[in-house]
Amino acid sequence: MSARELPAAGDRARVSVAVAVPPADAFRIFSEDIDQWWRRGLKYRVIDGQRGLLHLEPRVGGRLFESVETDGQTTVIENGRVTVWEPPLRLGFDWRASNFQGDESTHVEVTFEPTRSGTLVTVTHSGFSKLRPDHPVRHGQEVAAFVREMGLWWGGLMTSLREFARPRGEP
Amino acid sequence: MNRLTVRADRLERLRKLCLALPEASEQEAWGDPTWRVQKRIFAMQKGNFEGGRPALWLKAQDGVQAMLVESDPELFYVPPYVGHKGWVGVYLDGKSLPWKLLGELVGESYRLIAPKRLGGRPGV
Repeated sequence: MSARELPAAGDRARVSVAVAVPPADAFRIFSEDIDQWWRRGLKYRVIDGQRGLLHLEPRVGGRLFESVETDGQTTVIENGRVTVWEPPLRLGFDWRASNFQGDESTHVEVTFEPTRSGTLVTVTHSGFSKLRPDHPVRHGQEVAAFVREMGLWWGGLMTSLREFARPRGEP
Repeated sequence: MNRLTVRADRLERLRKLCLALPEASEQEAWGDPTWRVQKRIFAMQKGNFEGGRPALWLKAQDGVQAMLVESDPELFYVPPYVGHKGWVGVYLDGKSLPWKLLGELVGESYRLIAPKRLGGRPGV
């Protein structure tokens, strides 16, 4: 990504975590195992409880969505679409909260950089300044304060990712 | 106790935030106020020395220290001694303080330190 494409610092929440597995594993865990490390509860998911599942379809245009089965019926709630699918180094998706309307959207970019001890996973969530100031997702906050809230939110998720992404023993 | 550089009303408000958490207690260490749960520190009020800037040190989740320092380097910094373990420093001498955010950060630090029995996620 060139410097020109980088979102302004005030418009993005950027959070990095060092995980103890190589980039290919980190990428696979982030995408394929997303339901297992992504925190549960209404702070992190639309569907509450233990039965909801989170999926990320592994291709550009694939959906990021939650699903739950109740009485044989499957409810699906889409949170976004994959925009970048470049394993094992880059993943991107649009992100829409449940109260977004029309073309309102934010963007999440995840990079996986190899390090000596594993991978540095960096999430950059941007596009908040395009949301109107009185948008309910901002809870009446200035962009800077809202971006910090999102940063704390991602901090929780990245802590869980690191916990989950431990090297597995040889079979 | 060191001579405190923090405004008395701000220290009082911080104290209330910290002591509202389950089984939290205050204890002086290195001449500064610290707040603990089962002897383990989750918050420290630092900068109490000649020419020092009053600050609060807290443990933060992965990546949050860098995120906060990037978002406002006038307010947040990497503290000595514990910065490499993910702790973040918050200056307490600004015109106004983001109390809501401080409340959240104090709560997160507590959960990173407290035992599971008290709602903590130790070792995470």
